[in-house]
Amino acid sequence: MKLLLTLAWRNIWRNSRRSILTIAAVAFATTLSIAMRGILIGTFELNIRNVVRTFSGYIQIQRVGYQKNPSLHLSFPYDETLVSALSSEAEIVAFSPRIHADGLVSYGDQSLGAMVIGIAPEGERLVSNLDDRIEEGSFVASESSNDVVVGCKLLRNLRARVGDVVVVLAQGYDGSLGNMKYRIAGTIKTGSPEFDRMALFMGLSSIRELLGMTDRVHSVAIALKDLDRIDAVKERLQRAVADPKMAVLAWDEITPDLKKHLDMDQARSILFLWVLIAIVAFGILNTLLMSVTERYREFGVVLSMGMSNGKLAALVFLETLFITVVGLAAGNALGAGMNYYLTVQPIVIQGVESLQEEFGFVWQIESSLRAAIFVDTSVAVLGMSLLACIYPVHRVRKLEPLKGLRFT
Amino acid sequence: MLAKLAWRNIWRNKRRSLIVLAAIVVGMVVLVFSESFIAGSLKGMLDNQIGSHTSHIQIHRKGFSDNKIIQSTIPNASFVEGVLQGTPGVLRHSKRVVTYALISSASNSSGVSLVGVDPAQEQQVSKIQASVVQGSYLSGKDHEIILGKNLAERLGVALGDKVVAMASMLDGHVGSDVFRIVGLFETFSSDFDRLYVFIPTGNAQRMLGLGDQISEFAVLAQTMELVPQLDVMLERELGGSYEVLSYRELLPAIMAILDVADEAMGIYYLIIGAATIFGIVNAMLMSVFERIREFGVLMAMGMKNGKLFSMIVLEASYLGVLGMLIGMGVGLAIYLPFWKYGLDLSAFSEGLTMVGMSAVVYPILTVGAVIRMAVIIPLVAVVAALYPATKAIRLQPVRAIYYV
Repeated sequence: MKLLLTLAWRNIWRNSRRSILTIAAVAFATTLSIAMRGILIGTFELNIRNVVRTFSGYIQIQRVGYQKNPSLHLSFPYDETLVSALSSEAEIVAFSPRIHADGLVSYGDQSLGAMVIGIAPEGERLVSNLDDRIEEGSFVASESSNDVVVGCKLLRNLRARVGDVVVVLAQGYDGSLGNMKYRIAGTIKTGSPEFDRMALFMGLSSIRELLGMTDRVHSVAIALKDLDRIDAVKERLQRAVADPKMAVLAWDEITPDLKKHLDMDQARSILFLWVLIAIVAFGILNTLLMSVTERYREFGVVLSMGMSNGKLAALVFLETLFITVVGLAAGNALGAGMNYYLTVQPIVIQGVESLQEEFGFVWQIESSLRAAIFVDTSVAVLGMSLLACIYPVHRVRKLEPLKGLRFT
Repeated sequence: MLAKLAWRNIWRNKRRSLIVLAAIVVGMVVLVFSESFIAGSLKGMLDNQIGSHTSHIQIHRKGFSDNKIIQSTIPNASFVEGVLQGTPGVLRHSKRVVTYALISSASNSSGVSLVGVDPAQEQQVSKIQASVVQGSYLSGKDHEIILGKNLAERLGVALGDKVVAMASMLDGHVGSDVFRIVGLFETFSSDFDRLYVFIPTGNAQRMLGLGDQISEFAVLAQTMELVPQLDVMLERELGGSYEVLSYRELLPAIMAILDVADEAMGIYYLIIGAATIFGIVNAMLMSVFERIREFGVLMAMGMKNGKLFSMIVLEASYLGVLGMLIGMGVGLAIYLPFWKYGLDLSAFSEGLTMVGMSAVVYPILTVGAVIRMAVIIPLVAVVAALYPATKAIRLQPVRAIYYV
């Protein structure tokens, strides 16, 4: 056995050019697969991060049925027990309570429908990037300040300017109509037509005063450390909250349209990954086949000197194994390098920089360094190589010495 | 003579040539597949978004998209019609009344965009009729309404039920009318299903006191590529009191997402292209290197360096062209059934629940793409053979014969 191992290793380097070409096939297959999978995963996660930072957050806690039919009375208390349950969850980075109401906003003789949203600015900053998308002026100063932020189109349609005072009218919790004056602190541009035309943000305490809502809220948006944790945290929160009337929803249940987009994107990308795998597997097969068939004369000599076919076949198999391992090592190193480079220096897409400012999205091609990428790819490539050497090794087992010698 | 020699050389060692040929054929097939599916995906994504309602171009009174009040009607509809008829590139158009409205059922109400359409005209421009999953499309009779399935759920109504639509009239009063639900639709976008309802134009005009005015022209261009120049042409022809918006301006967020997808696929294509080229280069390199002994013999017999080099290059080009042609044939054989029936993407994603046709990709192969590939592939094969060929002829014949 030791003889075979030494022979196999020496054989590889005896004809270094041929071996290098074969190693290159394996290395290339590995590198490209790692690169593509990295981009696939990296871009998918980037897209999700963009979506959850827009407004929904990774997870939201709501009353059951609120998502489908948002009604003012489907609220729940934002109390000590809830806050401490959320604070003690290690995976949660930040959480932000919200109150939603339909209202009317008036300035001068303009009266327009508005989505009034009460937020707690400090927490909100960590969960969504609303404050990054302030076009003019500033964000809501605090929970209790008397200022509001309106969508950029809403501002224009009201024919108002930052600094003006508007009246907001809404139906309160007890059914009576409440109205109060607020100063426009700033205007926001989100790129979502709904928000830009109708959103009006105010402090949590302000909206509670307007609607007479005590300590209740409609939703708590939560930001997590990592996308992977969503399911686990969801489960833990559901148990912590332990109320059949309360629901814990992940971002894809809140914005199902965006999830559809992302899923389509993934499906498409996976299709192309399979195409890549097809062609690199074929490349390995081809190269391996040629490298073995070109050595028939050499095999013929060895066989006629007395080596058994079985031993020779084992030798060829071992050579393939060594070549694969070397190729995998090189390929993983190169692939890791490429993915790492893209992680710290993503490809910024040309001509989309302006859209970046508009929507607060981050548009770039990113990659990922998740271990699964490297492990999965290496196992797959190893499998491809082993499969590819079945036919050549079989031919070697059946090779007659004279036939090999005469091979051209 | 050299040509004949080169050709015979290829078939002299069938195995080696077949391996190189296989690399080229597979590479070609993969490229045809990737190219056509990427092109088809992008078009499919766009169609999903604009096909169901947005259409290629929309024309309104200037200022409508910022403030969609009912008073913002088309100043002179017949003038616009005239311009549209006279502009080449316009395929079809439809007229719509568009306004914010409140739809109420017995149990609930919801703010929507109420769209008054001429059913026959509309189905030529948008795909709403194809999205109707229950009941039927509008027939044009008064008091008919179709709405999204999820909106119906939210309102707690079903096919055949009545709803009331309330909206601001032209003169400022509040107009309303009762409608019977004749159909429910479900499109690619659940947001769309929640926000849009359709009634006949005449009904809308009467309910809102519009007379014969309309709010919007939805225009379909002959091809998507024509849209930008059509946009410019129509703006010029119609003048300052109109706004002409292309789908890019109407759906900026979606277009941003699609642009990113476009870039990502460009990168995938690059990676796949690199793999293909590498496969061909590797096979060709190995095959030529393995024959250096044979070349040594030829040189020893007196063949001139230049002739030998040309012979090798000729062989590579034969293999390249032959492989390209076979690969093109196989590629087309795979492409055509998909072109007809599409590829269902839900096979590639767990839990991809799609509505109707949207998960199916129809590949598109353009003549330009075919020509590009037909030229590049044989070129790659030839270039790959150059390095080992140069190496071969530089050797002294005896060295070549003993080359390992």
